[in-house]
Amino acid sequence: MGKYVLKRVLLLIPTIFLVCLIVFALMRAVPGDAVDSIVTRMTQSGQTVDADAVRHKLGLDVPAAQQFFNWLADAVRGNLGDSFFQFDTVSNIIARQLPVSLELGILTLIFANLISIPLGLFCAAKQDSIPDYTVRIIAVIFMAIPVFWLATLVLFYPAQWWDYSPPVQYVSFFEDPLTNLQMFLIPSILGALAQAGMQLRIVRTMVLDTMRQDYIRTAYAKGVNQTHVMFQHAFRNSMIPVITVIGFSVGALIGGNVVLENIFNIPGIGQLLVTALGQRDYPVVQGSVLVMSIFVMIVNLIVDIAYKWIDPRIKYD
Amino acid sequence: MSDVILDIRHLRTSFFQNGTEVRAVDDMSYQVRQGECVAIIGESGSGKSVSAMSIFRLIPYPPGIIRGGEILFKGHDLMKLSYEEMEKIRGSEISMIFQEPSTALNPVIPIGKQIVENILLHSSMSKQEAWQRAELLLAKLDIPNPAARLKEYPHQFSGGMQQRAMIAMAMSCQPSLLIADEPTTALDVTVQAQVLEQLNELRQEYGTALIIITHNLGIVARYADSVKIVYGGKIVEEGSVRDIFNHPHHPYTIGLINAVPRLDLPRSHGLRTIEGEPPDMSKIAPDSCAFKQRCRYATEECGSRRPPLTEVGEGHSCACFHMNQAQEGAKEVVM
Repeated sequence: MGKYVLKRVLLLIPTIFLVCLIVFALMRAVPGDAVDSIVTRMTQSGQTVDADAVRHKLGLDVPAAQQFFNWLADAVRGNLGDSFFQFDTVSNIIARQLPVSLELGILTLIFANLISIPLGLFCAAKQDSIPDYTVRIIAVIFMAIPVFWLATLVLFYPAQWWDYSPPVQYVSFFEDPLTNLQMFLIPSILGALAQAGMQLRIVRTMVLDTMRQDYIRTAYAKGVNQTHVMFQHAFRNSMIPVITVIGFSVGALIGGNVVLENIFNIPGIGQLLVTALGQRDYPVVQGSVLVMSIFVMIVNLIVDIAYKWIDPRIKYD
Repeated sequence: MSDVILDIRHLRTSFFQNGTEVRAVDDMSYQVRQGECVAIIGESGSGKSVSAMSIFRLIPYPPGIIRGGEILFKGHDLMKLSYEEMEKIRGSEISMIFQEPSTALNPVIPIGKQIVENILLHSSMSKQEAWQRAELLLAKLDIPNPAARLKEYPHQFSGGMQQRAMIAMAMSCQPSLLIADEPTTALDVTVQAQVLEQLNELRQEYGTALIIITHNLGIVARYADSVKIVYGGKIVEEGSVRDIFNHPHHPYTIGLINAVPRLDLPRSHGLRTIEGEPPDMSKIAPDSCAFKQRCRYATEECGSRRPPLTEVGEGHSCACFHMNQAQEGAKEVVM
């Protein structure tokens, strides 16, 4: 087991290198660069600037390969460089914005599981009854509705009816937990609904599939009652594929929910990435993609270890 | 007759497929005495497993339903019990062993926990006592190092070991009746005999009656006291092992016994098989003999009326209009 984890961690290194290389290459392939936008902006405000001087200052006057290895050499030492547009280091910016996305992501995940697992079990227990159909139809509706539309309604109507709107100025959880949660509650529930809709259907299908297995018949033959059969014999077996789906969604959630972050003005990493992409702020894009990809890979590793914990038949060596 | 523990009367279990009724068990009646071993023999799809699952009231509904009959267990009709009362009987008074031990055990729960669960459900034992009892059972079944084995998962056991764990689980509460549904079919030939021998010793020690569902006539000859031959959801012949093997009356029984490969006959004798294939249960008319299509003695009468089970000797009955002819024919075959 320890050997397996070590192998997986070592495998992270070439993977991350490739991710960095691809992001770097793609960023340079996009037409227009930071120099252009700085020169345009400064010219518009009446200043005269020399494009070459700006290029030199940003370190973009050396060949691309050299830029990449310069950046990589710094990144390995923990220095992700400075932003071209914000007067701050990339590490500081990420340290400020990543926790915000993480909070949103974790809350979304908690809500998605709180909704989908009990309801999925409920639907499986009441298979093909009216409650089952009702829950499943609602699940499909939430999967189908675009989240930005729902988010707009949720912002608009409470404001019109009760003059209520969630706080728009971000405060950290440790400063003012109540305001912070008020800000995150609605977007995380909205994000959770679509996720829960999909997960609910998987939980239901997997529980039903498990309930048809021979060992469930054995459990009934022992005189175990239905509730116990479901929770002690079927639940764990049916969770194996569900864990996979949760793992995927964790990856997506860390990537930041750009749409929700924008609508609710949450300064997360999704918003950061979109802005930086538009500005061609190379160090910020490269730095945040690096951090996010490390995160996703670690989550994948945790998911693989969780399989082993749930299913003793899985062997890693 | 006081020692009869299970008395099945006119049991009928049906499955519904696309609106048509398939009579998997059609008017079956039999009795099991205390400590007796009853063998139910039939080919795949003859309704032998369904009749056993009906005793347990574990027929998946839908599509299956027990349509009628009485299942008297120690004088109480199991059909009239509530679901909770039935749960108390399952695993304690009646237990079951399934055909495929590798799928019948829960893959993510240690073997010991699965056995202990059964003990704790039906007794007032403490957890520690239950584990000790599970260990004792495995030891009785000749599983080496039982204490350590209890902590292992089913995939760490071989097929024979898994089935022994199933036996330990089924016998853990000393049931009065054990139903074994083809308990050795999935096992290696080399361990079949051993597992059966251990099962038989344990059940004799506990005084447990056994219904063994099989199509292995060798098992029947060795362990069974009485035999029921099932065809098309009905008992076509029943009697003691001696009667069935020495004086088979029904053409199907005769065919089954002749189909056993024999080493003592010349090669030219060949393998005698029963022509045709098992009937499509949905197409058998309720008032005809199910074996009619494959029977060489079949006449018009067989298609118009179902042959009743008639006594041909003490405790030996057969349901066939032409059993005398069949017996004459049987003599020729053996010659």
